Amino acid sequence: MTSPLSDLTGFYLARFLSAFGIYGHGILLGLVLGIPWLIVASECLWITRHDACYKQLASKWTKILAIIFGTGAASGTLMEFGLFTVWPEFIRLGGQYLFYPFFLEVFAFLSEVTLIVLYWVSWDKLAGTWTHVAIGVGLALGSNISGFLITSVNVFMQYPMIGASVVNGQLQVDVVRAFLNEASAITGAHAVLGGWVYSFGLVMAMYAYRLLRAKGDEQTNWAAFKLTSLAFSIPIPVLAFLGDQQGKLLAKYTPATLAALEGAYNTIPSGFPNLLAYGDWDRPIKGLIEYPVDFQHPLLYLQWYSKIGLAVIMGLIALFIALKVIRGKRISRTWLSLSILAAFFGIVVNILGWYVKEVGRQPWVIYGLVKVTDILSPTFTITPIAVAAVAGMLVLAILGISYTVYTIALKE
Amino acid sequence: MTPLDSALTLFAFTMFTHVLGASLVLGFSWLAFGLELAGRRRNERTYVDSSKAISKAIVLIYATIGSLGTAITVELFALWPDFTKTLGTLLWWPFAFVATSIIANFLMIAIYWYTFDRIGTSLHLAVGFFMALTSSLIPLNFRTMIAFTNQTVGLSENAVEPILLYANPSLPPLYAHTIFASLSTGGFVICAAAALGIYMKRGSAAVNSSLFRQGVTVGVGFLVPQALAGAWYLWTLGQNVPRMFAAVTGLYIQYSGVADTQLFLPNVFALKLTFVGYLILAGMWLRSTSERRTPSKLGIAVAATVGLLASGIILIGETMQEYSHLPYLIIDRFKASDLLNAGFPFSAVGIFIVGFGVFFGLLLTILYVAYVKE
Repeated sequence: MTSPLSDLTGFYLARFLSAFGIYGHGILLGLVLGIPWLIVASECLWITRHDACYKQLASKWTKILAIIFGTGAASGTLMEFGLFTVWPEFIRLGGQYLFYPFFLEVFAFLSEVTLIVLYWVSWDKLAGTWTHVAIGVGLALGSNISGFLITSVNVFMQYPMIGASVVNGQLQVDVVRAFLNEASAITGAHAVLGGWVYSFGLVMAMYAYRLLRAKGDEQTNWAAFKLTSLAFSIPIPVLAFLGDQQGKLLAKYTPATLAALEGAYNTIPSGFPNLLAYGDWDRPIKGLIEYPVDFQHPLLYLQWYSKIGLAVIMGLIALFIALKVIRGKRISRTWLSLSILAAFFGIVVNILGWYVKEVGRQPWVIYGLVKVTDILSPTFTITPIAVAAVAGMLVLAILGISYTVYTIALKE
Repeated sequence: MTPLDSALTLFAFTMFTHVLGASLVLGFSWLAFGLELAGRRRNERTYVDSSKAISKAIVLIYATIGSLGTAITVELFALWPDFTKTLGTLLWWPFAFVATSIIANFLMIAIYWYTFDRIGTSLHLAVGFFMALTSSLIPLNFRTMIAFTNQTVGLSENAVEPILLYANPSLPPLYAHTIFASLSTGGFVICAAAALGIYMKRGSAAVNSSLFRQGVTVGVGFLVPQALAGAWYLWTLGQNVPRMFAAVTGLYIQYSGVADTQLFLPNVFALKLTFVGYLILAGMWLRSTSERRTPSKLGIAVAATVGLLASGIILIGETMQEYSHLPYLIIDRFKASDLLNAGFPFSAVGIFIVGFGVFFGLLLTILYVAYVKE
């Protein structure tokens, strides 16, 4: 057994374990942000068009949502306890300064939980009524507000300078301003819409696969594919706009991170990135070399540009397919295959986005104020075998859930 | 209301509700497994169907009241951030175990419910057994933490010896009491729910009758060991944590420095004993009449009260456990008032409680839609 504070390997194992848990939870959470809207849309179409295939879709997606949500909630508990035990000082800081978003999130989460269960248990009794649709809207709002509020905590960790300052060595936090500001609005909306795109994409890919393999009722599969592909494409332009706004936030509050994302080791005197960041072609982006070493991440731009590149390809595929659907044109097998690729890119883009955000903040947990090494438990011990055991358990859980979802989505 | 009162009220409100839900999941899990096992062995379909009905209730409770665990976590670190940090630092071992148990339990519950009659009998029974087992492992580790807050066994400097955590003298009786109480309460609540089902003519009459009979048998059967484990716990407290013993019983107060806020506890304890007495008598009567196909209206009314009172006993037990600690969070180490988050808006506690009230309203709606609405 090794103590992370005295052993760099232990420290990185602790970080790996936390990152693994948080990503695992985040991937499931992203699906819960978007799938409820698909269910609501499908039930609305069932009511208005009297087309039974939409009823079937809403029913199937509700089952899938319940499984994903349950696993997500359970993995959230694992994550909470992970934070408790590995990073107890972070829990203290969070509790002391960020109780508003956490408390509000609890209520959003409880609304989401109860409404998911209510939506499910009332399926046989209320489905096909506007009351049932209203329950669905409530659960979708609950999940989205919950996601937004948790993201706002992350925003505080990225941009503490908006709501906090150090006065006489003491951290002073305006608890409302810290989580309700321009950065939380932009980043929160980006995170929620990112979840939409990624979850709509996955459902779309499911039906593209069914169509390619001729599984199930073809008419239902096409209805699902058309609905999800339209839903997939709509938020993408908004995401591009919000992404640009996030770049401007970086330029304003954390220019060292911007330099890292642009791969600017030396100052960029002028150019297109300068125009995007500052609205001025000739305003220089200061190079990383001009910042203290704690703020430098010379390799982050690789992940960042990979993310942008994949997002552009995904967006183009999504828009082409959406145009074909709107015009009523035939979707060829090639485009069906490409839609699966776009959905896969959606997952990768999502993961890379969070990776860039989290690694871009290192070595700080609260940017410029608290370092990761300051919040690590002095007593927590960890071994590679323990990490492998936990990671293995999580992988098994994810595989089990994936198989169940696969069974429901593709075989039933 | 002082900030400490507000904090304790908010925390108690959430914690007790969650514990009740967790107890029901534990009790129901063993009941579901036991009924399915009996049904498969005796080839009694009614037992298997009863187990299936319980498994749906487990999913509903786990998904809703179980989620209050998140609220408890948030409340803990928002109300007592330094205390929570200390808990995380010292007790990471049981926290890690409990997190693992929760994940495993969730998976088992989901698989058990979803695969009912879809997979082989033996495999499903194995899943049911592990569902019940993992639901029992969760309180083992939570009770380890509670026992540590009673008496800091294994603490040296700023670290805890993990093995000694589990050697805390409070732990065995507290854990035994938790398990038996969960089984007993689960049985009585099932009996009450089945009685209401019979009265309102909802669900299968055969399943309701079976659950009524089995529920009251389990309820009464485990009430006796529950009471014995309770007495054992109290005796252990008297030996090791006299402050708590004095607060609960009202005896030897002069030696234990009991706080004014705890003076109501002996009355609560007396109420709990009264409830236990009622449950034994009512339970035995219900058991003796349960061979009838349809219980009388009086039987249905009594069954409803045993469900409520058994749940009440869980809440009373948690009240006694939490309030007998005062003024400490960890006895003789950390005072609740000293570690309170001064920045927390205590005046808003009422709003938070109203928020939880809305949540309970939704829960009732769920129960209504799931079990009453046609």
